[in-house]
Parts: sequence; C-alpha cells; structure tokens
Amino acid sequence: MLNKKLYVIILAILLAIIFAYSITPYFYYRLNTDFKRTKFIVKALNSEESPMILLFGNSILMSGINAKILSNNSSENLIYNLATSGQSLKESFLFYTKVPSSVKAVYQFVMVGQLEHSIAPLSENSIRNLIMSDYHFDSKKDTLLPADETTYFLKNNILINYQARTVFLNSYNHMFRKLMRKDLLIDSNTENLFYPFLYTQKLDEKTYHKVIEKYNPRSPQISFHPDSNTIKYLIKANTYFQNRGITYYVVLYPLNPDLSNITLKYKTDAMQKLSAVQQVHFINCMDILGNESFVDQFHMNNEGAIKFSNYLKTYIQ
Amino acid sequence: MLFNSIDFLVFIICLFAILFIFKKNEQQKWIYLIASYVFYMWWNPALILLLIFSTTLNYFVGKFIANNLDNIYGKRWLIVGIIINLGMLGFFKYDIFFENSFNFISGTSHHSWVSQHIVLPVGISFYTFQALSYIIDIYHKKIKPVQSPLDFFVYKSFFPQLVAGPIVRASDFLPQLQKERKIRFETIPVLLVLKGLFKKIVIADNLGMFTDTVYAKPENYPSLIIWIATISFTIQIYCDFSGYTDIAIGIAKILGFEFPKNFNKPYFALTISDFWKRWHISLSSWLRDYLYIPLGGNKISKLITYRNLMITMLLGGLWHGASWNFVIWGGLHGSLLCINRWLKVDAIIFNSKSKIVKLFSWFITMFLVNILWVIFRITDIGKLKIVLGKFFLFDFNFHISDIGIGNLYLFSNLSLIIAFAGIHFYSYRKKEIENVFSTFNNSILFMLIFIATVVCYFFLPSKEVPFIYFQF
Repeated sequence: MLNKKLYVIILAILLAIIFAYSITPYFYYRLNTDFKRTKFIVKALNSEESPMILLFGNSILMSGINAKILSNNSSENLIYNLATSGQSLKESFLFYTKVPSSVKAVYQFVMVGQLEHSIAPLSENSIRNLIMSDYHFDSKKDTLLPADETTYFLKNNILINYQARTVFLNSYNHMFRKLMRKDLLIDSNTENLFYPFLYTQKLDEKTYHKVIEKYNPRSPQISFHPDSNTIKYLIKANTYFQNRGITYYVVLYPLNPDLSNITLKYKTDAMQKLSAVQQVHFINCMDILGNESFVDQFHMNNEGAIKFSNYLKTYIQ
Repeated sequence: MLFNSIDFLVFIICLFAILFIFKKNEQQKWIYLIASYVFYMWWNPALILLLIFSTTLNYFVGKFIANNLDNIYGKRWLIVGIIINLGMLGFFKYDIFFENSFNFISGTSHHSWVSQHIVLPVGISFYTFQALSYIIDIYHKKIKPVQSPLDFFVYKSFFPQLVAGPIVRASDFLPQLQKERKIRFETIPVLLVLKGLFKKIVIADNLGMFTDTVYAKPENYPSLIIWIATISFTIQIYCDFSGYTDIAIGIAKILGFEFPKNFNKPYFALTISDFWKRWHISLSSWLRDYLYIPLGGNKISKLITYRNLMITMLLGGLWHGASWNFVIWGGLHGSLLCINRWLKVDAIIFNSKSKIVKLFSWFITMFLVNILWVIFRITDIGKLKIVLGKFFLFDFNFHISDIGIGNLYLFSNLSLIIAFAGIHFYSYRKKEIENVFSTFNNSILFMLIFIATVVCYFFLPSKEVPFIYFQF
C-alpha cells in the first residue's frame, strides 16, 4: 500500500514530534530567555533560607535596587530582589501566596502611571512560564486573582507542555538580541537574587532623546486619576498580607526628570490621592533621582541604583 | 475545516480508510460528495444550502443552455445563469461594500439587516467562478453538459479546492471523474502536502504575526521595521496561498486527480505581466478567458486593449474582497500592465541578453509588487499613509535598543525570510524541493525529515491561523 519511502517519512515525522515534545520540559529553563529567571524566583520562594523582606517588580526594579545595600550586607536580614523582566502586577500577585512565613515585609514596585490603568489580565504565556518553572498552583490558596483568569493553570499538562515549545523560538531570538545588545548584561544576572541588573551603559545621546520623546506624554500631565479596580487589587493584597502578619508597601519608582510632561503637580496630585487610600502604604520615590541616574527613559544605572537603594533603606530601617 | 488542523488530519485519515473499502467509482463519487459537504459544513453548516442551491441551479442552467444552443433561449439562459451567480456573489460578498460606499457618498450611516446578519460563505468566489466557467463553456460548445447530477455535485464541491482554489474548470475535472482511480501514496504528492504545510504553518503564519503587530501600529516602528514587515507580508501571502494550493494539489494527486498549477515562482517574474502569468494562474487565466477576451482582448485597438486590461484588473481586484483597497490594488496593477504594454517592456526585457538589465527589471517588478501588496493588506487609509510614508521616506531611525520584548521575534522572522529566499531560489534554478527529497536514500531522507520536523515543531505558531484566501 505505502512505498518504503513513505514509511520512512511517516516514521521520521512521528519520532521527531515525540523527540521535540519530550525535550521541551528539560530545555525550558535551561535555554536562555527573558523568562528564565522565573524558575529562580520560584526556587527562592521555596528555599530553606528565611528571607525577611521580598521585593517584586519588573526590569526597572532589577536594575534599580541592590538588596544587599538595603540589608547592609547582613545575612541575618536577608532581602531578595525578586523582579523579573516584564513582571506584571498580577504575576507578582501569584508570587504573594508563596511568600514564606519568615517574611516580615513585601515591597511591590510600580510606575505611578500603572495605577491609572486597570491591570491587564494574566497572559497564557505568563501562566505557562510559571507552570514550566515549577510553580504549583493551588486553586484553594492562590485566590488573590479572579478564578476565570487562572483557568489556564488547570489545563492538561500534555497541552501545556506542547504549548511550551515556543521557548525554543524565544531562546533563538534572545540569542541574537544578546549578541547585538552590547549595552545589556543579558543572562549574566539571571540567578542573582539581590541585584540582577541588566544595563551597563547609557544609550547614546541620539537614541536617548528618541526614547525620551517617545515615552514623554504628549502634553503636560497635571492631575492623577487612579483606577479604582487597580487600587482594589492593592487593598486586597494588603489585607491578605495583614492577615499573615506581613507588612505590605507599594513603592512608586523614581521617574526620569527628562520625562518633563510628568509634572510636579501631577506627582503631588498622585501622592495626595494615593495617601487617601488608607489601607495601602505608598512610598513616594518619584522625585529622588536626576537624569544622570538613568540609562534610558525608565531604567537606572548603577549610580541610580545605589541612590535608590539608600533612599529606600531609610524606610526599611 | 482548515488543512492545518488536527480535525483535518482525522478527516483525511478516515476518508482514506473509507476509500480503501469502497473502490468502485460510483461509490467513491458519493464518498467524495459526502466528505466535501462535511468538510464545508465544519465552518457553518447552514451555508451548505447555498452551495447546494448554486450547484442545482447551475446543473439545470447548463442543461437548458445545451438544449437551446440553436435558438435564442440558449443565450437567455446563459444571461440568467450569469445574473443569478453574480447576484448571489454580490448579495453575500459585496452587500457591505456597496452599502458602505453608498453611505460614504450620501453621508448616511444606514446598515441593512443583511449586512448585519449575513456572513460571507467561505469559498463563494471560487465556486461561483467555477460555475460561471461551466455554463459559459457549454454556451461556447467547449464542453457538453454533464449528464450525471452526482458528477456535477462532486465537481462543484470537491473539498481539496472548494474554498481556496485552484479554480478547476469542468473540462479539466469532469473527464477525470469518469476514470477508475486508485489512491496512490507516492512520495512526491505526500512531500508536496508537507511542503504546503511547511509554507503555511512555519513561514506564512510566523511572518503573519510579525506583520500584524507592525501594521497594527505602524506609527510606533521605524522604516527598517516597516520594510521588513512589508517583505514579510509579500512572502506570507505567497506561502499562505501557494501552501494551500500545494496541499490541495498533493491531496488531489493522492486521490488520483490532477489539478492545474496555480503558481510558478511569481517572485522571479521579470515584468508585471510576467508576474500575472505566474501568480494565481487559475484566476488569471479565468479572467483572461471569460472577461478580457470576451471584451475584445487585444484584437480591436490599443485603446480598447488598455480599457480591457483596466476592467479585468479592477474586477480581479474586487474579486479578492469587498473593499476599496482591493479595487485600488487591482486598478494599479491594471495601470502597470497598460504601461508595460505601452512601453513594450516584455519584448525589451525578454529579448535582452544582459543579466544586469534582467536583474534591474526583476528588482523594479518586485519593488512594485511589494508596494502594491501593502495596499492589498492595509484597509485603514490612515495606517496605509503612515506605512507608505515610512516606506518611501526612510527615516534611519532604527536603533538596536528598540529590540526589546516587543520585537522579540524579529530575528526568527529574518531567518525565515532568508530561508524562504534560499529555498525559493533553489527551486527556481534547480528543481522543486519535493523532487529533490524524493531522490534521497532512506537514511538521508529520514534524517532530513526528522530535523525539518523538529524545527517546524518549535516554529509552530500557538494558534491555528486561517488561510488568507478563505476570506475571498
């Protein structure tokens, strides 16, 4: 019925699919991608060491806070910087329920502008990344997010493993990006739980101005309009931690003064309105750095990170 | 049902199994009919009624024409057939287009019940054109009306080409139905199906994601990225459509049918008219035989020839979709064909012995084809302006720091573009990949297919993406 060549073709296809499927979990967190760090965050949350303070945020935090400065290099007062590239607020919420009981305080870092928008739902990619990084979802305990946003966790593992194949494509692109971005320390600090900084140098003048122009709001911002839904989430997180005897802070990232349309009035208005939210403690760091402390529109250089860490230290002590 | 879905894999395996049991020709025709209807109903079961209506109508119109060829009623039945076929197409496909155009001109915003509730039946442009060629060919005595209704129903609904072509003519297909056929699992047709899947899933769908992202907000991207997205779409539409055709031709071949070639390396065309001899050949030849030549072709006068070219290309553009950008796209291609004819470009280029002249002509042709694909792709006039602006006024605004998470797939897309160019060039200069693969010994073939499958597995997009030409 079939000639020999067709048997060869069918066999090769079947074996290749089985092979590719089987190697996916093994390579998932061995291949370098932007999401590789999640594995180490999950590991750190499950480790036997007892951190006192945990910091959550995105790549700005990765390059913005040196946790060793915060803890004065003391191993007794262990502080972890658990930021990851593109970590959304909802992703941080999934980490909250895994915070060990040794922790006394959790600091969530956000851009002030984030609080004006409703939090985007968790993407399937983020959830898949957590699952592949050994994050164990417990539908009874991990209830900070609405159940309909976490249904992907309940999907069949066979399907999740199949969909996780995109890690190879991510890694392929990541490899080229690493080769071309000499200003980034891609992959070097993936396992660093204290200061996983990424940036080594400021963008050249032309590019710097270009990104500033791109991210500076088109007209001067004067009033701040917090999103009630986002604030509700933060209140929920605060209540959750309060019940566990953990203090919860929301830190507003330092803003690059070159983003001149984010005016002082706007920042003042933001702090006034956020201070009115009694249930959450906001720490204002928006105005603590000059433009020399930034490599681009958002991310800090080493000098900026030292200043920011020292500033935050006063709150921690 | 999409060719690139698990549903189709199950469907085709079941079909092969059934065809192995029922080997008689008449039995197999019934099986093809039922299978084709199941295939079509997978999208929207109700729309099968339209296909059945169109088939029944054209079967009888064909008969009436044939019975009245020697009197005036033959022509009248032909006109009735054409009006009903085009009327159906107009009603289901162009209602919104006419309504929007009317609203635009009159400044109103009226939307009829039809435009709000009627969905576009998949493949209606393809099966309507098939029906038209059938009744016109009967009128011109090129073919005789089919005697068996079953044969005609199979012809109109045969699943490999039902929804996106190639547009198979009755004179090519019906005689094949009369012969006894066997399912032939030969190496080349199977490799052709795999090649089609590779083109669609690996190249077209991945490049499509990149293009969609860039064209959704072109204002956010520098000229370099706009150029890459434009080239990506040029490759995407070819791989998407020719991938479908490869699968259709391959499956038909396995089932014992021969379908006409629909593409002949269009991106190696040296002139615009050469491009149209290589792109969507079954549509180009349909338009030539049933529109351009009946209008007078190039036999009357130069001016009439230009007019005919413009009408053919404008309607050809409109055939692709109910939107003005398709009309403009067709009109611009028509204009280029007129200029091509006026300047006798074909004669100059094809008679030239200079490789540089040919290379230059190829470059100009591809540049124009690329630009016109942008007009084909972007329906929003504001976005179109931005893309064309950035395409022509290169802003040198790209910086490597732009490559962040958002542009994560830039490098894999560039790799796919290079891979496509390499394979396309090789198959143009040497021979088709399926023919090359079929000559390898078993161990080399095993290794190559194994490696290719592993690579494809990792490049599989996260969602099934419909074929672009399904919307036409």
